Amino acid sequence: MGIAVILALVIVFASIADYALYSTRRNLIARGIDYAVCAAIQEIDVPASTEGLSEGFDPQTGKVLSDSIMLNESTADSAFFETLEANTGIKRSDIAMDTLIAHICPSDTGINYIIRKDSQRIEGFATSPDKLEAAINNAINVFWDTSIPESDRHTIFVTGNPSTNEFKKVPYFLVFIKDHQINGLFRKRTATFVGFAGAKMERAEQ
Amino acid sequence: MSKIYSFIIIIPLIAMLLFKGVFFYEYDTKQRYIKDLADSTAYVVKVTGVLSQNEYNRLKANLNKYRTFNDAGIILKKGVYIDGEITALQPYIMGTRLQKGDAFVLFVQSSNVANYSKVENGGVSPDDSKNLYFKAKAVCRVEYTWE
Repeated sequence: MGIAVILALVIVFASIADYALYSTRRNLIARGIDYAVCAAIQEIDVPASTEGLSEGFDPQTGKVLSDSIMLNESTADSAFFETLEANTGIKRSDIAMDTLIAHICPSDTGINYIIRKDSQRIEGFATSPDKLEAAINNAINVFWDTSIPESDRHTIFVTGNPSTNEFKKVPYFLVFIKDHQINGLFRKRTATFVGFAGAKMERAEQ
Repeated sequence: MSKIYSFIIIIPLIAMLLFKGVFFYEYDTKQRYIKDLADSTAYVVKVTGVLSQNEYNRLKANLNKYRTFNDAGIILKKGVYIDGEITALQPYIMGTRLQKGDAFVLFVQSSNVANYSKVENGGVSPDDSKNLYFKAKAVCRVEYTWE
């Protein structure tokens, strides 16, 4: 009886420690992703964005224009993974296979997007920002076998309800990390993350 | 006989487990608070581009509520992003205004080891790699600067 009580206590404490370790690591990654997407969105491809950057304001409405501003794919990815590693210690090679990256660049007629996972790539065009949610979810279903019942949540909701963030018509850098394995004390669990950042557009006041 | 057996073995074992559980809980909870403090300070730099002396003092005062953190244990660095890589890391001097796109690194470590570490090692271990300290790190890229 005494031994059974001790065993039960050992299991309870070990499980608490195991989950605490898992949740700490999961939270570290979630926060690291926030820092990393904000770093990546600043990697503007200046030569490719000359037209967009030079347009400035809409003369009719005075609104700051963000059309035709492109991200540099390779440096934005580097900034993302570098910042994530600096915050969490997770190397690019350990997480890249679980990571979907979407670059969203508005143009005067709609929105161009590039969605990538490792070497796979989908390029497309949407007529308005609210169409991006479906495009990203379609890409998730192409890149992962989402029919497996054990698979973690695989649908993102951006414009799903009023309390979620909506995409505006600005450049975005979005990441979706699916079923990333996180080791606790003795159990291995998986977690799914979504993070995105929009370009913070400002024009110098002269 | 069974009473002696329970007093000598079972009760001390249960007490030890409870003791460890309490100290682990203390370590885990404080560690999370300390990470929160590091993150909120990094966030200030991310949206303003500067860490003022007041903000630093606030961080240090809050950290010291949980464990002793001296100035040597609060490391601040700045760097720049070149082709997506953080380079040219150097010490950040308080009040320096960073440029939009610069990197800022904040690392904090307590000056003494956590109680949980003392329980696990039977005191402070002479091998420092076995000692657990309260630590947190936050690396951000400046998004806004003030004029």
